[in-house]
Amino acid sequence: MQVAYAMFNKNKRGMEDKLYFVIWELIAIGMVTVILVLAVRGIAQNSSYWKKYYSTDLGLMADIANINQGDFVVNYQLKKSADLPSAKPPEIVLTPTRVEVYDAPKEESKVPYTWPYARSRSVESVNSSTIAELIVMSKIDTIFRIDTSAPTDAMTCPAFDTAQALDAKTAFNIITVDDQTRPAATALESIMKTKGYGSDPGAKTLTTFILATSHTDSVLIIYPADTHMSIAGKMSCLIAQEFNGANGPHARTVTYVPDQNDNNQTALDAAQQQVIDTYTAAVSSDPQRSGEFWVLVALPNNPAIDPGTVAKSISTALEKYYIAP
Amino acid sequence: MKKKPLFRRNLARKGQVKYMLENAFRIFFLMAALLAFFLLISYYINNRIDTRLIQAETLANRIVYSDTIMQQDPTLFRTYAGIVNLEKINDTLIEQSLSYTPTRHAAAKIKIISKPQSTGTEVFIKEAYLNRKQFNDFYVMIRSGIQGSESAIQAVKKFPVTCYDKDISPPASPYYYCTLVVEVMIPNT
Repeated sequence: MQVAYAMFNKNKRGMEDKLYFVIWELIAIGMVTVILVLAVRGIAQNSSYWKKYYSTDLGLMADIANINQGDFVVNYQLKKSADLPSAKPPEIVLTPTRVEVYDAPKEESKVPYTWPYARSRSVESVNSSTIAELIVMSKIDTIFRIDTSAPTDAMTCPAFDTAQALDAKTAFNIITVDDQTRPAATALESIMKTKGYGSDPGAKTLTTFILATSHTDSVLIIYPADTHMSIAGKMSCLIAQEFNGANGPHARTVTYVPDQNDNNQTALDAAQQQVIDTYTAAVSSDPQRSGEFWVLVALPNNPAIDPGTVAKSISTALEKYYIAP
Repeated sequence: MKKKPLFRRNLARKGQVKYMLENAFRIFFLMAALLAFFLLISYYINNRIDTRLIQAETLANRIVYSDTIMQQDPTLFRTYAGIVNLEKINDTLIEQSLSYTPTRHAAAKIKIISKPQSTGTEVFIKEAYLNRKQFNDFYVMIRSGIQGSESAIQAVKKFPVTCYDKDISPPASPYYYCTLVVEVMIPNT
């Protein structure tokens, strides 16, 4: 009141000091209020806690998922977007070494929160990302990924740990049953020679690839149903994956049970059967070759099939088998 | 009366100190209220998540239940958790199986000792490390009592297991009882 009176009654000496004081006080209060509101709003909109939480939680889950072979599927529900400071779900990215959480979209996010995990040697971690309130983290056979739904009918191969160093002392045996597969065999031998596998005289043979002509329209990858069934099955699966990914004739795997050729879906003829019998007899009689197994790749009688592509598919599968992804 | 220009006014007048003193309490109380407001908000905002113990548990269980050191059937690839293959107790194999990037994220020592003897003593058999250098660095810091973001916590877990030593030839059995000690180091940040 006194100030207001002083403002309009200019005859009061000294009253302007009080006025100046009050003005400065109001300015100070205004500045403090603005700073407070900005600070609280910044805190309210800060999503760093949830990004940190999700990266840690999903990273630890990824660690647990990679403990053992076997399938692992987890449905992970995020907090409702409306309850998050950013009002939208974060973008969660899975890489081979870590889980990263960004404010969606990732390209506009400044700093992600990350959490490392140790991938199993027999598993391939697919670079994947999601922006959703429900995340499905899955490890099925050799594929580890995150998505918004569980993978269905995915062609995956068993996640056995078959990693082994390949060098001059590791060799691969390539046998052809007929002349039609000879170009593919030559191409495959050339690739092995280029990579230096088996160049040492005392090299140990790890796998034998038998190339033959199939009596069907598709590629048959045949492997034995013996003690090496697991590892040979994995190799066959990888070769079939490579063929199917190359947009060529469809490939499928088949087990071979000795003395049951009629019931096998292998349709092996006598020549192919003899090759297998000769090989298996040689291997079983030599204790040094106990870890060796065979895989028969039966190609359809189709001149359009490129021998180079066949050789490349087999060599790529071989490297995926022996070298950890 | 002619008004003096502002810059010529004498602001050092009598009575102003009394005025300031009278308002000092008001200003002080205002500052205290603002400070309390900030402290209250800061107290209830929690941005810290301490997962060190669960990290230690996860790493220790990963070592114990995976095929890192446990015996695995070469044909079926079945892992026998509880049977330690002594051939796998070496730094290289362990780091190939548990590869963290960055290596500072976790470090561990895996030690095999005999089962407690009748005298109460235990015989050392074998040990290996995950990220040996990092483990030793953290160990020195912990032993020195250094705390803070550069230091770590240590968790020790013991498991009674069966050891498989392929170098033992018959008639002795390659399987015998032993104790697995897993010491895990988790950094504070």
